[in-house]
Order: sequence, then structure tokens, then C-alpha cells
Amino acid sequence: MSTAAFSPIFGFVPTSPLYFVLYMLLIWVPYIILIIYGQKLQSYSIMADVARYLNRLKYDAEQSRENLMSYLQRKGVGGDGQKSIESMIEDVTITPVDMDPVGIVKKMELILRTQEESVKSRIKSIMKDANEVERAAVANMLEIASALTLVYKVIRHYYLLGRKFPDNIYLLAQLQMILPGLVKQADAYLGAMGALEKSLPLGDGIGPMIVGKFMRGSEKIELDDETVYAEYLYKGRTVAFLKAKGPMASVGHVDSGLKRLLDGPYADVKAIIMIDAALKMEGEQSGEVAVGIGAAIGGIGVEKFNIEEEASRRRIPLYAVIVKESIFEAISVMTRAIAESAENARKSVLDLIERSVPEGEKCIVIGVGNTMGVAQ
Amino acid sequence: MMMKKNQPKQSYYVVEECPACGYKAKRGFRDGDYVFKESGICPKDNTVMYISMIFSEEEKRS
Repeated sequence: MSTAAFSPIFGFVPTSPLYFVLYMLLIWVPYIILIIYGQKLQSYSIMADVARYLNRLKYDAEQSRENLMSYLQRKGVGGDGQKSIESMIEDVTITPVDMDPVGIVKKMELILRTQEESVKSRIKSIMKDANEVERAAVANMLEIASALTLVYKVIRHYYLLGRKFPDNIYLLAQLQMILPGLVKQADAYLGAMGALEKSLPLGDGIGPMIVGKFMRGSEKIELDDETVYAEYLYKGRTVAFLKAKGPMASVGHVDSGLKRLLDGPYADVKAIIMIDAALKMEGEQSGEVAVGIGAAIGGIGVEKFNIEEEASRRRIPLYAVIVKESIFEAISVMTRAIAESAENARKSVLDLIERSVPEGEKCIVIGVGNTMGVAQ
Repeated sequence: MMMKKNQPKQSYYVVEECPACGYKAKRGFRDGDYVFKESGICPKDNTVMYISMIFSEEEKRS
């Protein structure tokens, strides 16, 4: 029997029948085992990988809880108060039914406002001697701890389901695919807790920072307990700069603030300009500034809906100035590249005002984002 | 099981800016600092400066 056929593939030429049998066993037995048990072996390998990421999510969830408790202790909150706030980590928010989506935004808004007010009032009743900045920090830390706990529980649920049915490799493979990005985001959220403790500005705070600079030195008028605006004259145009009230951690209520201005002294504005941090694509530079059309605001979509609704009803053009950054930069302490981009964005805003608002007319500029560590 | 993370250490800085002459000075972040807080006196014209930015930077390895 010719053995030449083996040579080019494996570089081995069996010289006796025994070698030939051994050779066949060595090649074919593992091959057959892989054909029969390959999927199971792969699912065990994926499960080990998922378990590793799950441990990391568990660490993030536990650490966020510990960070919150130690912050409360440092602020003089006693054992009962700590327990009460810790119990709020597990609170659930039930989203409205979406079978008939007409009017769902208003329902969602009610649920979110109720949740926000409930958390704020409970924290206020526990932290009676704390200032606004500390209470806002606790509310935001609580939100992070809740989110990380929920993410850990959801991933654990699917991991345990996958272990129960190891033949369902696709369930596990989906988990394995999303987990690296998810863990990186969870780490960034945990890192943001350190920023909250010190009230350091986040990357997301670039919008309020740009607007805050225009407001500096002007009289600030409160539209509600978390939203402020100031009037600024620029080359014959009257501009209302609107942002969340800082320097405590808050995104304010810019949609309802805008509505109040449009219902009151700014009914005849020629433009609404929104400044926000926006997610960059891979390959783009952090801190790059872009100008566009539309409502620049993230979140669940309630504020975006309300702003678009008001603007379209009154036929007011919406413009956007965005500062590009990654999701990790948006929820971490502001980097130098992003902070330094504020000047470019400021120039873009002034340029946009000159181009889109005639002299003697009015416009509104909104700084969107969390204003933690940024006053006005 | 706790996971150890090997992330670069971050340092926090503030930039104080003089509203009159535009002089800028960088210093380390101190508790209670926030952007647009009045902080320091301008060495050039004695105007009260304000914090114009706060940012993080990775510590350089020596």
C-alpha cells in the first residue's frame, strides 16, 4: 500500500501495519469524539468563560453596594438609615404596557417622575442634615448599585438556564458575545461611584459645562428645583441658556424647562440648539465637535419626545452641537481631551446662533447631560 | 471570588482661569472643587480666578 498520500499532509509515513493502526486511531478517534461530543465540549468551554465574567459582574454589584454603604457611614447615616437605603437597591420599576403604544411616553414619564420623587423624598427623610450635593450623590450611587445588581441577576439567570440545558449552545453563545462589552460598562459605572463621592464632572457633563460658561456672571432663574436658565445677549440676539442646576449630580428637567420658556418669555424663538455628548464611532477622536439637525438628548426617550413635540408643534427648528466620546468616557470622570473640546463647541454654538437666528430675535440653548461638579 | 483589576491610576486636576486676562494655572483637585467655583487670585492682575475645567489624567509610570 502506498503511503505517499500521508506524507504531504502530516509529514508522517507509517512504515508498518502497527504504525498505520496507531496512526488511524490517533487521527480518527479524537475526530469521532469531537463529532459526537463537540457541541457539549464547546458549551462547557463557553460556560466557564461566562462564569468568569459573571464573577466580575458579581464583584461590581457587591462593590457598588459597599461603596454606597461606606459613603453613607461617612456622612453620618446610622444603621437603620443604611438598611433602609440598602433595601431600595432591590426596588423595581415596572414599565407600562406597550401593546398599544399610543400615549406610552406620558405613561413612562409619570412612572419615571414618581420613581424619582419617591427616591428623593426617602433619601431626604433619612439624610436630614445632608446638603443637596450629598443627597444627589446618594441618589445617583443608589441608581448605579441598583443597575449593577439587576445586570448581575439577569446574567446569572441566563447562565443558570444555560447550565440546566447545556445542549442549548446558542443561549450561552449569545451571553458570551455580549458579556465583554457589558462587563466593561459595568466597570465604568462602578468607577463613576468614585466620581460621585467627590462630585467630579463626568464626560456626560460637557453639555452643561459649555452652557454653564455662558451663564457665568448672569442672573440665574430657577425653572424648577433642578433646572435653571440665564439670559445672554450675543450680537443683538437674546439667548436663553438652559441646564440642570449644578454642581450636584442631576440631569434636570430640560424638557419641561423648555416648555415653560416657550409658554412664557420665549414663545417666539427662532431656534432651539441642544448641546450634548454623543457616542463616537470606533476610529473617531474623543472630543471631536460636530454640528447637526435634531434633538441631541439621550436617555429612555421621554425628554427627546417632549422636546421634539414642542418644537414641531410650534415649527421651531432644532439644531444640535455634539461632542463625541465613548460610552465609557461618558460615564467616567471627564478626560482632558473632552474638557478641552468645550472651547471648540462654544465657538460652534456661537456660529450656529449667528447663522440661524436673525438680529433682534431670540433662541434657546440647552446643555444636556449630568451636571455633577459643574455649576453655572 | 473577587477579581483583581489592573487599571492605570487616575489623577484629577483643575484648571483655574482668570476672567480678565485669560491666565491659566493647573493644580491638583481638592474636595469641594467644582467647575465655575471661584478659586485663587490671578498672579498677573490680582483678579479672582474661577475653575474652568476639572479632568482626569492617567498617572505616568516612572
